[in-house]
Amino acid sequence: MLRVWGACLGAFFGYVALSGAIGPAMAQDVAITEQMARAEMTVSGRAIVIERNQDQSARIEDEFAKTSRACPPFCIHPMQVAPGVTTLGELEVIDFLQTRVSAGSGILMDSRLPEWNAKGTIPGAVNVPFATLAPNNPYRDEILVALGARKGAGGELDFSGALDVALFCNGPWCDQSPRAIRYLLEAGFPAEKLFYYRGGMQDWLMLGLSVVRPAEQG
Amino acid sequence: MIRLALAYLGLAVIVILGIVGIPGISLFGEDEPQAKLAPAASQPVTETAPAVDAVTPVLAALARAAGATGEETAPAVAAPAPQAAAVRPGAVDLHSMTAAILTELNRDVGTAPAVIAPAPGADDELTQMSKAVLQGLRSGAAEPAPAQKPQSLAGLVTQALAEGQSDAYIDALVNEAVGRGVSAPDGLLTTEGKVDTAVLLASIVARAQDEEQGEGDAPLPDVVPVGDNPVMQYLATEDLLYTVEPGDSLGALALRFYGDAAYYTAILAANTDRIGTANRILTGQRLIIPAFNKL
Repeated sequence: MLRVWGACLGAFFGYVALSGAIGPAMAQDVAITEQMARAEMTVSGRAIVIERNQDQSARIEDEFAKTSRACPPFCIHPMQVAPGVTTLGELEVIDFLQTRVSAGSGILMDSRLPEWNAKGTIPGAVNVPFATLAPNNPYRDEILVALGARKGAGGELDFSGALDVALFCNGPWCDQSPRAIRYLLEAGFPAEKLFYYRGGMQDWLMLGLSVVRPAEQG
Repeated sequence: MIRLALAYLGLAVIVILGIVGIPGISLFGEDEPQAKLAPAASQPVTETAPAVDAVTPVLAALARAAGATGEETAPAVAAPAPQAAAVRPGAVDLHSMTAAILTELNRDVGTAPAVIAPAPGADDELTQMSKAVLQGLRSGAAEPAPAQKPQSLAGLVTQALAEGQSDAYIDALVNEAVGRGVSAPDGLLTTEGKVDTAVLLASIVARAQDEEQGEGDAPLPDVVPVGDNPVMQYLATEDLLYTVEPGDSLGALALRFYGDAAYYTAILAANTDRIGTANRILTGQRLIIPAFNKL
């Protein structure tokens, strides 16, 4: 009996070794673009990989396949969220991570509430719930300072050295990142430093792109 | 011998399955991105979690929070959604995750009025969220910036404290940051023009204690906790004339005489004719320390 278990164990490790060898050859049949199988970068000392689900039979099912949510509140947002704010697609989000976020000059902001962020977000994103940017939050200025604003002697904020901020939420039907963008603009954040990933989690998941749960990132 | 043959047969079958790629058995390669997803809650989440997009009700609740009373109705904005305990480790569960999110979302749309109810705890939620945000921003993407973007001194110090750094390290860190152009807090420049790190530390600790006690960001406490603060020497119960010594700062004096560096403004106000706009005091300068009960 022991020998059988031993053989099973051997079989398992044999499988592991074999799939390890085969894996890379099969791994990237679903690339991000022709030139880019996967995107790798380092954000805050943490290695990040963005790639696509390699299961070519994978489908969006259940609620994310849903076409019709009540509007209001789940209304379709325009391509241009506000004058001067640049709208991003997935490749631009990846590029934003690789260039600005990696370099410390930008931040990818998940505008959703914490429990939704905890369930899965774009790798490298920082959770800044829209409500924390509202004018009624006494900590808002502190957050703005953490985003690179400088407080002058009279308490006024100087955004000239502020980070570039790219925001997203659940998708084109989600109001949370547009709302966060409005709050930032109202606070004086320069529009040219703001970026809107309109597709949000809906489009990110629809393309099978990598998702992380922040709690497991360590 | 037969057992051994069976075992090898088993090995062969498993290897073939691996190559063909039966979902659920394949451990590597194919499902890699999904594997990162980690187990999602495999059942609709909690009764209290608010809708992802029920922003208006949540905001309204947050806005009302200040004036509202009561205890139980706060939306559990920051409450972590409980995870199903039975999720298999490493389960590939994109779909149930998305399903859970949206099930929750749709259900909450229907129950939005419950969320909008007066929410006295909402400020706490907002505070908690803000703290998490600040922590995330300071330890996250915004942190490793090379000299380019200034951070708040309090943030630097808090982070260094969290890392268990020594006071000497923190002092060096703070003064290096000020040298880089991070603005020094009012009242904390010593006679040498350095930042009074000891006072900065004490005020950060005091603020953290205030927050723990739920006093929010009230700038000045009603009662000075005499004896609570080792830096404090005595309470100024009557007007004093104080001669500035090397290394003093307004914050240090406020801490010494009132127990809280935030009171430096009182000393400043009593000495406007002596102290310039830079809030810098000079060794040998004589300052009026107003009695505490006159503040």
